[in-house]
Amino acid sequence: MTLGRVVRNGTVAVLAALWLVPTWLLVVNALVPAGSYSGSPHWLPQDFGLFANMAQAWDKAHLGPALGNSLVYSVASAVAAVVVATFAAFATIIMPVKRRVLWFWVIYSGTLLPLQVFIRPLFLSYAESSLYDTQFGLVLIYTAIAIPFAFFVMRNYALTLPREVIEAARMDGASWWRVFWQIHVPLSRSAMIAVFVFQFVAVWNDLMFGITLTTSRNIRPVMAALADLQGNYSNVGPPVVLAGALLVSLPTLVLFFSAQRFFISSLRITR
Amino acid sequence: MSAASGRTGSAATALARRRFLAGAAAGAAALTAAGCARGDSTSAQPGTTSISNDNATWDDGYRSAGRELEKITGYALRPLSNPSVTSYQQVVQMTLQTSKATDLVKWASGYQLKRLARAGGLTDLSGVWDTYAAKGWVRGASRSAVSYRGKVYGIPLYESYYVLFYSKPVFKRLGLSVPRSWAQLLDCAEVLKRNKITPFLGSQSGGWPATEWFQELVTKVDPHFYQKLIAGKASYTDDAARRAMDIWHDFIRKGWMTSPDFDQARGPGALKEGTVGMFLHGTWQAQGIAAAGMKPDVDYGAFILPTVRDSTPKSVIAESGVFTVPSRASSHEAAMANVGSWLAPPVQRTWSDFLQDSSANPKVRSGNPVVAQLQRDVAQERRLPLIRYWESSPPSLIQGNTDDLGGFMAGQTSPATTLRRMQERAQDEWAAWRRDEA
Amino acid sequence: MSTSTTDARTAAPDGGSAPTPPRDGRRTPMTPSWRVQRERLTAGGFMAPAVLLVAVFLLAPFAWTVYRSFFGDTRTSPFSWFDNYTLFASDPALFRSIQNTLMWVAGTVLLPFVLGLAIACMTNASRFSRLARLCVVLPYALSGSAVAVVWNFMLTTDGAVNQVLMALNLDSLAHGWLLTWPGNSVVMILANAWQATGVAVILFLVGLQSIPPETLEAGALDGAGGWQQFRHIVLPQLRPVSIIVIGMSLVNGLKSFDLIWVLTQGGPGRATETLAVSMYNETFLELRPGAGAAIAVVLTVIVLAASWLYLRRQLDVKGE
Repeated sequence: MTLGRVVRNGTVAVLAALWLVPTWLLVVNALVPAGSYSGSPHWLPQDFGLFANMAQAWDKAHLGPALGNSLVYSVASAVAAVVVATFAAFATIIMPVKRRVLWFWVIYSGTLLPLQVFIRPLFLSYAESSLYDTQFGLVLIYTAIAIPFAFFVMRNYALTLPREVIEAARMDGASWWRVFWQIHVPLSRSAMIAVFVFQFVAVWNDLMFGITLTTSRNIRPVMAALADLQGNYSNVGPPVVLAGALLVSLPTLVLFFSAQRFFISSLRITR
Repeated sequence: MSAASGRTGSAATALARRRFLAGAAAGAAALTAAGCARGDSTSAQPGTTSISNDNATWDDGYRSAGRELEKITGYALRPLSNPSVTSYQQVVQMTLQTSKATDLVKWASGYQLKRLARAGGLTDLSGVWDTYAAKGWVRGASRSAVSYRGKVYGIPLYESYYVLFYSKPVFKRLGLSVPRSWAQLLDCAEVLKRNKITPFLGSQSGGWPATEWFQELVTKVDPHFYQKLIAGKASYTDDAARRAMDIWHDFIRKGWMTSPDFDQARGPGALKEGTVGMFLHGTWQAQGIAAAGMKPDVDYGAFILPTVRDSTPKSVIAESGVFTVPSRASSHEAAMANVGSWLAPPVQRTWSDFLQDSSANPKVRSGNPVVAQLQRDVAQERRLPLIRYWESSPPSLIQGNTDDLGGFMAGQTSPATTLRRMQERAQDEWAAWRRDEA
Repeated sequence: MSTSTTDARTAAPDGGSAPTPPRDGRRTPMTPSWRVQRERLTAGGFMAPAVLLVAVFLLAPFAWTVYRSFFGDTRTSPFSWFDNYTLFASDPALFRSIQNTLMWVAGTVLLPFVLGLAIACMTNASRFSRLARLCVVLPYALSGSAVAVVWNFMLTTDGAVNQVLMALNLDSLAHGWLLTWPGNSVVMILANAWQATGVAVILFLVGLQSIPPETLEAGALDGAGGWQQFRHIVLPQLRPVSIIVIGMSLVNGLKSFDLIWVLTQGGPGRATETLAVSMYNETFLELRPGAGAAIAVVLTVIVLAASWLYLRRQLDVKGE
């Protein structure tokens, strides 16, 4: 038992250390003052230039409004996707539906498609329908790309739920709508939160749609703004890019921290 | 206690939370619909012309040049940038067919422009060009690079030369001077190498930089051959191309080139630190070198690569971006006015000072002493101006050949194999281009 | 009414075949058919938003792509039957691209699954464990631009990995990690695992939550050791989550694009392209949208086939 524990903790420690190396480089090099960067990666922090670098990134890339935009897109799209996907999962698993396998594939196939080639048809239809360069247009596409995977997770989670409660509620004459909100949603809470976190992160980190379907500063999401620092002719140097990247990763990190308690297993495997 | 089974029992107490959840979802939806903003840059704004470009670091330059333009035409410039070059090109090609086109569009010259013009949607700027030509504000020789089927579709936005930047303190420390001949260049490289400095920066990261050394060496072996090669009238397997590739291969084998995955954004820093001796790039890089804290003529200088033989005619690779005007531009008249005054000396003074590069108007001398010196050199030596390889032939051909050159730099293919593949592609792509033109 | 739900449930476990809907009145004589109709309408209402959004924003552009793949890439774009698809037979770069895609699938399915499962199961509520877990999950929250810069730091010839090797006097091992095939694909797969394992860890943690502790206690009473508990009790109960993780990794592996694009753009010399990168290159760099569309269609068919082969047996877990 003790040997097992040593081996286990040792493995975990080694893995964690390996994982930490790139993260360490990221943080250390974001600390290097932009002016004293030598052209090759630093391993140890020397001076503290993080805030100056962040300030430079903030000003040059106009991160302020972009952060606000991304917050709207991520929250709105992730919430919408989770709710819509849970609806669909509820319908295909709990409710009496014909051809549920077919419906599964119709929705799930959305996640199988290589999105990069859709830029052209999407752009042209956005330009036609004046969704181009609007916040609403971005929320719509982000919601649509988030749904298939959210649906997959929610559906598989729904399969594991005890069905007796729902059957009992239906016997008592509760409507499907009531059953969904009062029984299904509370039961699926942890999966819904996990899916929300995934989709929030996915939308937050999207660059492709952000740079293609928008052009104005008051619409651009944060990754599109940050990319200004990294363009082909950019001259701000890696420390500023890294500091900017760290800065815009803060919201997702905070989200992870605050959601962590939902992920931590309440279960102890005796070893 | 499993979360799932624990929740079932307390269905009643959780009612309030459910109400809250449902309310929150509805609220979020309402907020989204109501609070949705529309882009403030895509609609026409009086007194300005929008310009789309792929380089956010130039935005400030457009704004200050725009203030000069406003004094002449009454319209300022409003830059809209897309940070990804690939995405930028897609968006421009798509917007030309829609009502979302900006008033001015930055584009490359040569075949890149021809291909865009062929798809339709660009305004004929021949009249503007003729006015400029009469004033001597454009070089007559560059007309073919900005026209398609005899009509001009682009007005030069900037003009850069391909040169070798070097660090003056490093050269001084090692007792080196600017090489005037091929032998001196080789000598220079040997000294640098002995002092543990990689003589030349060459990279394929980012794609197109793989063509820099190819175009440079071919033109310094035989500029007239290069002209025939890019016109599809000479073969990549001919002797001159082979000689250029052999020189390059030799440089790589001697460890004179940086590794092919060297990030060019780090070039200025590497010059400054003295880890790289010479950095082959466009003179537009001067702005980036300044950002690394190096002063022209004090910390850095630049020269054009010497010819391989003394008898070889002298030449220089020139890169020129252009302005185009989409025919569906929302402020078309204002855009035409601005294009018609872009090369006016006061505008160009501001613009080239911002870029620290040479102006497309030959009457405006660069404010950067290093670039001004290069301009004098080009004029005195009567260097043959040659179009950059990237814009010199049909885009599909260039893209494929660039990939092949990248493979060569990474050691995947020998000079002979690389050239044979490039020639095979040239045959196919030229045939395709001519078929399309017919 | 309860009959219909029971019906639906018993129909569910029988795999890929369409389940028998509770439509015939003989077995449910108490339910008038208009009620069944209304039930279906309600169910349709629950599904409609998801189906509509996916159909309009994802399936419609795909239909357009399929259509486009039958037209040539010359200026007039003539109808050209399957000409664009013959590229797979003639272009050596696409052959390499398929090889790379297979490597990516193998790497993306195996690494995050094994590592994610190991970390989720080997860590517990102790402070050290939580810290370790955080280290692994953190990269997932980082933006693509940070990941690009950091892995460039690590992998370029004058980068951090080679710095370390030199410092350890292992100069012979130092080389251009991104320059030679197949090493460059392998290191990028590892870099991808660095970022993707976090998702697997989280999903497995969610899965572990739904395992009733009583089953483990019962196992412990029967004298099952840690490993046996894991194999015979935990692992089977993690199946629904495992299916999600593998299903997701399978799709992501086949569609690998982002990391390759920021690190090598498929180069040098198109050596690190996957099908998704080839599709992008053909469409937007080589300016052959027809050829790009054909690759997109082939890629989609492969992803669809792989997902179907994997999921058709797994779709209904409850019955087993």
